[in-house]
Amino acid sequence: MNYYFKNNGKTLHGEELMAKRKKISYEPHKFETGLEGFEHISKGGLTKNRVTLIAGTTGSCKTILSVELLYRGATKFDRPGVFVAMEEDVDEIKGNVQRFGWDLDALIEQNKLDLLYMGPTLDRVEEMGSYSLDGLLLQIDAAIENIGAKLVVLDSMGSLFEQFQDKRVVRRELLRLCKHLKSKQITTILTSERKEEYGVITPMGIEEFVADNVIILRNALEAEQVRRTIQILKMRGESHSKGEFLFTLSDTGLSILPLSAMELKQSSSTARLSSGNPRMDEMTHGGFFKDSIILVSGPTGSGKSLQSMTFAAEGCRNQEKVLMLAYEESRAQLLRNAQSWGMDFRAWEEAGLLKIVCQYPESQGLEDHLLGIRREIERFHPNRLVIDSISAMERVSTVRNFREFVIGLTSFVKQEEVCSLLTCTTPRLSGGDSVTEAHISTITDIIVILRYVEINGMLRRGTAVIKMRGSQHEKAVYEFTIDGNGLHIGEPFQNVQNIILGIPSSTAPSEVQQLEKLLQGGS
Amino acid sequence: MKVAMENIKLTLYVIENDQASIRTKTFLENLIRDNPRVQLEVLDLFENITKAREQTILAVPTLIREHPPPSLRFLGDLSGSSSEELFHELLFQE
Repeated sequence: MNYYFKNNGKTLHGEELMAKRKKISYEPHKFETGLEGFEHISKGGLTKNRVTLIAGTTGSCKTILSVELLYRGATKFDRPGVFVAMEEDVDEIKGNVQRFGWDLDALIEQNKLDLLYMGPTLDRVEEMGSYSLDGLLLQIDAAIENIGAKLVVLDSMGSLFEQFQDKRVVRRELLRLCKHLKSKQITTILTSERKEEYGVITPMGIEEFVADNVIILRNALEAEQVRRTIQILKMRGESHSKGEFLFTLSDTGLSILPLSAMELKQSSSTARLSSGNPRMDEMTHGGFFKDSIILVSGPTGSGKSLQSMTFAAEGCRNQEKVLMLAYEESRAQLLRNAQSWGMDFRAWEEAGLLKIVCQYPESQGLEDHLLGIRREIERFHPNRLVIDSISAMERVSTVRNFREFVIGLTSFVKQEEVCSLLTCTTPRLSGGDSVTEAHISTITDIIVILRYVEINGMLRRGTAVIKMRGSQHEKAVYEFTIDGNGLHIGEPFQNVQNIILGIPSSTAPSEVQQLEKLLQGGS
Repeated sequence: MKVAMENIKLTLYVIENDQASIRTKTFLENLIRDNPRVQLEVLDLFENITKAREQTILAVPTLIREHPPPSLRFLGDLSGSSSEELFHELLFQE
């Protein structure tokens, strides 16, 4: 039944009905939480005066999320809150969040937070006859009045239900508590444990009888890496982003990484940057766009790292800031290799123009890598970014994770207008493409390929620009060589086919070319 | 019985005008009328909210046997105990 149609038993018609509906929809709805990425996925924050259920399996960060909501609310928006602990005792909670630098004691002293323990006691408990949970309700009420709280967290439903035998009573009392808190204009957060990542939301069915909003946290193990995600399952009467979003625990708390939610609204620049190689600039008809993403793909030893270093060195020479992320070489190796090409990376680093970060891809999960890169970029504000190689990341994750990582990374560097060069290793020496390319080729603006070409028993190298958004580029496959001074791009290959697509084969010179040769020889 | 020889200290947490609380209070008062060794303290939650917080009182009414140890809790209006004997037994259990 649609209750809009009835108002004190009187049926509403036409304009009257519309006015009533409008009035309902004009209530202010959401408040900011201050949690990194939460506003984005919830399209504005938590809904006011509603009951939100946070459900998740063991270790999925339910408590940390709920404490952070209180902490950010109290510190950023001066919004006091009450945490009702039923699982862990108060000191444990304070201790657990110390690693994020959250000083809960200070907040308690400033009357911005109250931690109330309402968990089981050590006493033996007998239930005899009927009871209510007015004790819980009154104490929450008192805590709210005391500090003027706006937000109340009950952690967790499982341990509340565990304390009492008669589940119907707890259910009834919980409903009464939530209604009471709503009537006091309090936003309530309940946490609840789940047994499995997918399926039943809570064993007690809390989502059905009391929660307006449901947030699900997941903690799945994929490819030997923990993949933490957050999903807003429902938000009554409000729009929100759907689907799972990656999040990670950093040293400051929870960070949600909204990847697919990012909009393609980045501004675009027509200013160009030199690649460091004059011939490459010619091939791209003037260099790379300032905010473009360049993918350099090639088999092992084909000169990808050299090209990325040339790109980095060019930036430093022009007094631009460059961030280099190396996932295949150690710092010492990288500096030595650069030295051998006559690039003094050490000096540029000392001058504050260059920052080199070397890490094993296996050292952490992709979402942590992504967060790390984002933090690095926010701190250093580079003009150019080099990642050597992005395909090293692929081996430590699942296909889906990797794609999310690349999308998250590229959308972020575009936002920050960082000209980024990513290298990617192809598995075969000649021709073919890699999984990495298949995933990220649509996201990149420029693709440069480096390939080995075997001609008459000689191994030669070829390069071509196969894609460039927003600009014309040379379509030929150029031969290039590497010597002590770096990478030299020569003339296009002639009379060779299938350099990119497979096994190169030579063709007979065309008539025009033969005539040209004859004429040259004759003059 | 050893325990029964000692003084017994009970605390009952109630809410004024709450039917279950009134029932429990009457029940206990009748029970201890002839037993001077049992001391009953009745605390109203509204007036003793800090104490209730220290004691983690969720359910109303809650009866706590403070002495002798071990500490015991009874939740509810005690209507579940079919006879005074049963209640007595629980009250004096070790």
